[in-house]
Amino acid sequence: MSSEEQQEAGPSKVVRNPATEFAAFCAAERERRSNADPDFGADVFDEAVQLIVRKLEALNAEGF
Amino acid sequence: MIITHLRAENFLKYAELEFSDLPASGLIAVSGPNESGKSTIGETICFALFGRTYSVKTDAPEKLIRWGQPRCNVSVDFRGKNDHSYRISRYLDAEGTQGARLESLDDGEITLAKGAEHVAAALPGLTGFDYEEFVESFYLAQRELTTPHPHSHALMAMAGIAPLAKIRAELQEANAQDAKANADTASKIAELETRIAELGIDKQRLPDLETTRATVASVQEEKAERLGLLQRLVADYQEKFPAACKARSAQGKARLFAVLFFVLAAVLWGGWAILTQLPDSGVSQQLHAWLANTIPDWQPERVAALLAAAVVATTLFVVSVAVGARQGGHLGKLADHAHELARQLGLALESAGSGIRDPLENVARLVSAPEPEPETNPANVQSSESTEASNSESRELPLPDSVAALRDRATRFDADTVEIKQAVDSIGPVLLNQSMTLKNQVTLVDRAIEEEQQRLREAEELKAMGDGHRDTRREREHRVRVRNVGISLLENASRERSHQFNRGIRSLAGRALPRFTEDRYQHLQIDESLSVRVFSNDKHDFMEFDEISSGTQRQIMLAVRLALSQELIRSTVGGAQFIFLDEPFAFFDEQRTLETLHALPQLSDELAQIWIITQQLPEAAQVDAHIRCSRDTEELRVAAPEP
Repeated sequence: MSSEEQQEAGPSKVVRNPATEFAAFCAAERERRSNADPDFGADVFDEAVQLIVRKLEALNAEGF
Repeated sequence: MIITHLRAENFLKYAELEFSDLPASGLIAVSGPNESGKSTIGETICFALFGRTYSVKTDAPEKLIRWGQPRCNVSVDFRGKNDHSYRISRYLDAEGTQGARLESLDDGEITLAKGAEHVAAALPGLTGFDYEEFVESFYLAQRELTTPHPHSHALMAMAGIAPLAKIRAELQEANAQDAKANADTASKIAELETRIAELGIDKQRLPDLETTRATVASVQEEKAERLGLLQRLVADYQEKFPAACKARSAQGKARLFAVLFFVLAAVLWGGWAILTQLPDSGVSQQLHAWLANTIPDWQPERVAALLAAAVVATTLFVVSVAVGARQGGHLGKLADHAHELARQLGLALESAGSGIRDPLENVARLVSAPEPEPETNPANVQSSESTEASNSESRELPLPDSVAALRDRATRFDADTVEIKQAVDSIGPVLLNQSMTLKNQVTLVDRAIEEEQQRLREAEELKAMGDGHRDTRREREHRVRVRNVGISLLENASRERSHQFNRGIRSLAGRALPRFTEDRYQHLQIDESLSVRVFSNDKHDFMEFDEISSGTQRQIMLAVRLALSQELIRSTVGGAQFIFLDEPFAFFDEQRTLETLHALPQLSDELAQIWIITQQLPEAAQVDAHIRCSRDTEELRVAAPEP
C-alpha cells in the first residue's frame, strides 16, 4: 500500500480523540487536585499525563 | 459505512447473489420464509468485511462454501466514513485458503491492501470498527437479543475507554515488571553490601601501611647507607693508613732535625758574635783557645767560616721546620678521613645497637592480622627469624667503650687496619642483617599495600555497582509513582467516560423506547454493568427487566442496541452507517412491528441504512427497498430494489 493510499485509508478515530479528551480531563483534574491538596505533586502528575497522552496518541495513530 | 453493492458466488445457500444500486438511506427489508437465505445476506456482508461470520466458527470456514463447490467469492462495495467508495473482495477455497483485497473505487480500481491480514489492518481505518464492535452494535444476528458484556472490548470501544483500559493494563504490567526488577535489584544491593562488609575495609589501614612502609624503608635505607659508608671509609682508612704512618714518621724526623739545627745554628751564631764583637773579652780568648785545640789549623782569620756554618745551620733548621710542617699538613688531611671513620663507626654501632624491634612490631601489627597466606610466607618466616638473629647479634656487638677507644686511636691513625676491620666485621653483619630484614619487611608491606589497594578498588567497584543499582531502583520507583498517578487518572477518566456513556445510552434508548412500545415505557435506568430497569407509564414505577414480557424485553434491548450503535458512531465511526437487524421483531405483534419500522429511520441521522430481516413484512409497512427470498432460489440478483 502506498503512503498516499494509506493516507486515503486514514486512522479510524477521527470522531473522538482519546488523547485530547484525556488531556482535557487531566487539566480539570489538575486544577481540582492543586486546589484541594497543598502537597499536590504537580511534576509527577504532569509527567503521568504526558506519558499517557503519548501512549494514547500512539494508539490513535495505530488505529486502535 | 453505507453498502452500495453486494455480490457473492457459491456462498452458503446461494450460487449467485447480487444486490446493486442499494438505497443509501432508509429501510431495506429482506423477507422470506424459514431457510430462504435471509440471514445468509447478513453473513455475506459480515464475511466480506471480516473474513468470518457470526454463525460459522473460524476453525471451519470451508462450511461457508456452497455444498459441492471448490470455492466461494464475496465482495461488497461501500462508502466509507470519509465518503469515499471502496470494494472489499474475498475468496475462500475448500482447503480453507482465504484471499482478500481492498480497493478504492473513486478513481478506477486502486488496490489499497492485499491479503487477509493487510485488509484486516486497513479496514478499521475506513469503517471505524472491527469485528467485535460490529457484532455488538451494527450487526444484530438472529439470536437472542441481549446486551453485550459490560467489560467486553466492543463495549469499552463504544464507550471510548478501550484505549484507556489498554494503557492502564500496560502500566500495571510495567509496574509489576518494575516491582519484580526492584526486588531483584534489592537482592543485588544486599549481596553487594554483604560483599563489601566481608572485605572489612578499614580506611585507616592503607595510610597506616604507607606510613609504616615509609618509616621502615627510611630505617632500612639509613642502615644500608651507613653500612656502605662505613665500608667505604674502612677501605679508605686501609688505603691511607701507610701514607699516614709515613707522613707521621717524616714529620717526627723533620722536627728532630729542626731542633738539632736550631741548637747548632744558635751555637754558631753565638760563637761568631763573641769572636767578632768581643774579641778582647776573656770569653773570646777562651773560645779561640778551644777552637784551636778542637780544629786543626784554626786561625782567627777563619771566623768568617764560622759565620758561614751558622748560616748553613740556620738554613737547615728552616728546611726541617718546613718539611715538618708539610708532613703535618698532609697528616692533618688524612686525619679528616680518620675522624669521619671514627664518627661513622660510632654511629654504625649506635644504629646496630638500636635494633629493629619497633619497625618489625609495626609491620607485624598491620600485615599479619588481615588474612593468612595460603602458603608459608617466606617474608614472615624470615622476619621472625631475622628478629631473633638481630637480637642475638646485637648481643655480640663490641662494647661501646672499646669502640670509643678504638675511634680515638683511629683519629690519630694509631689503630691499625686489622683492629678497624675487626670492629667493622662485628658491626657490619648486624647492620646488613637488619637492613635485609627491613627490606623484606618493606616488600611485605608493599604487598600488603598492593592487596589493600586492590581491596579498596574492589570495594569501590562494588560500591559503584551498588550506587548504580540504587540509581536504577530510584528511577524505577519514580516511574512506578508516575504510572500509579497515571493509573489513577485513567481509572477516574474511564469512570467518568463510563458514566457519560451510560447517560448517553440511557438518553438514546429512552428516545427510541416510547416509539417502540406505543408510549407504554419511556425511561430507562442503566447501571455500569448495563443492567436495565424500565419505567412503566401504566404502573408509574420502574420495573425490573425480568418483570416485563419477552416482547417488551426485546423491544427494550433493541432500543439499547440501537443506542449502542449510535454511541459507537459518535465515538469512533462518524458519518452515515448501515445497521443489519436479523429478525428483530420475532416477538413483536404487528402493530408494534409497524410502529418500530416507522420509528427506526427517524431515530438517528447516522443510522441511515437499516437492513431488516423478517419472515413477514406487514402489508402496511413502508420500506425503501424490499428484497424477497425464496427457499427454491439459488440465484438472487436485485438491481435497485423497489419498495
